Amino acid sequence: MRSPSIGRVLRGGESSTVRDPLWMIMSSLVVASVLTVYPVAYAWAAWRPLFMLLVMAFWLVYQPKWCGVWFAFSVGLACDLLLDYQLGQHGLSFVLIAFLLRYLTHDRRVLQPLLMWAFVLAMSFLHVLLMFILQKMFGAGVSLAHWLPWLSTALCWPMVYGVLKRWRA
Amino acid sequence: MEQNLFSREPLGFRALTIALIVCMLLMVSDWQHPEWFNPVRNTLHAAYNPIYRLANYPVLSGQWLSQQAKSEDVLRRENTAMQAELLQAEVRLQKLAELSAENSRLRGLLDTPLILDGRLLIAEIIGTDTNPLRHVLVINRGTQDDVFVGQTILDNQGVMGQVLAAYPQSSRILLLSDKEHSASVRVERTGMRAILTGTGDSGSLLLEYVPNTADIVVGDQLITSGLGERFPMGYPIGVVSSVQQLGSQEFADVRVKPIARLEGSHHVALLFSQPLARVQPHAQP
Repeated sequence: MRSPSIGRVLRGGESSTVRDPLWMIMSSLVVASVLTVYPVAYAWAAWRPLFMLLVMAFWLVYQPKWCGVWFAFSVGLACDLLLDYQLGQHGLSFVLIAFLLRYLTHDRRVLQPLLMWAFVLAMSFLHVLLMFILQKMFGAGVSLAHWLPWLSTALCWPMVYGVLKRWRA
Repeated sequence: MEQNLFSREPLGFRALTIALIVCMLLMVSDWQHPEWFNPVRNTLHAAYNPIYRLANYPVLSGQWLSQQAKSEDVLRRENTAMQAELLQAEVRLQKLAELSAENSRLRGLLDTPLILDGRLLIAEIIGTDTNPLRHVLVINRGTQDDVFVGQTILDNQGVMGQVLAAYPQSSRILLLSDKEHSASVRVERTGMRAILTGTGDSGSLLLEYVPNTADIVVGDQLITSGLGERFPMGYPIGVVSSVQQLGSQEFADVRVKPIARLEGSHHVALLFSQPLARVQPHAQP
């Protein structure tokens, strides 16, 4: 009973040393940043998925040795600067999401993609909700369109997962 | 490939707490003293410049391809130069129409040293704000090109908005249609002053504090009044699209359609010209 799991652990260890995910993490973040600021018409802007959140969630769960709370924190701050939000808004949300995601997934030997999708759905809702609360706190206007990215983000997860899954640990 | 058991440990509470506290401190201090973070923001915006450029690359390359299809290099350069010239000329023309009207009104009455025309700088829109509620665009000119906060942005039809923040190589501009934007305007036909505020809808602005009895009809053209110390006077800004005079309220509900193409413009002009209140300092009390 023990040997397969040890073998898997060893294989996992080997693959993470052979295929260094650092470059992939960096380039996926750059691509996500570009998609985040890519100019689109206002009618579509509301539907823009939260790519940074998706990429952050992916690496956090599938490259846990590389990406932890400070990774989430830095991606959040980068988001704040990129989108000209109050510094720390995305940071706060991302750090909380990182903690919850890791807490929800840590005791699962096999993480079913469908289950992970459900987690992403919940986490992106949490993000949109937190942003709503923080925006209200700092007195910015918020309308119904604020909630739209939740849907598109959840729908985009399979795509992000499909593109990045080769670099899982 | 399956996930192994040992790698995905929960995050430590200590790191979480520290990160959350740092975030909250950042948020509060950025809220209270945004100027503390200006050097960091400027540096990082410069670092982000390649990302904005990369995001804009498909747009740029699409333009390049369409120009390439037209003909060779010389024609392309000529065309670009002429487009820029046309925009300048059109902007000047708007000003000229208003100036001639103004002139006939004031002739003989005032010896006013009004600005004729300021310098123009053509800029390209290289990004939009992801938040659909904030009508903010990013342009490719910044403090290195002498762009300053509050500077007027025009397209070839009329006023688009103003500079919200200027970084070394890029700036953010706030459009008229943003909820937090207001401009001091005048009705061209009657000279009545009012405040034009964005509603978050790029096709409809709100003319505020217009009394129910005011002489205003659909089709009235609005121009900037130059009184808000932001926009220079005399540039077309919008056309009244609907007037509702509700007996129950003190003010009429007047909707205005912006003249500038807030959604469609790709090139914009930055105007180096002072608002009325600064051009005529003696006019101030």
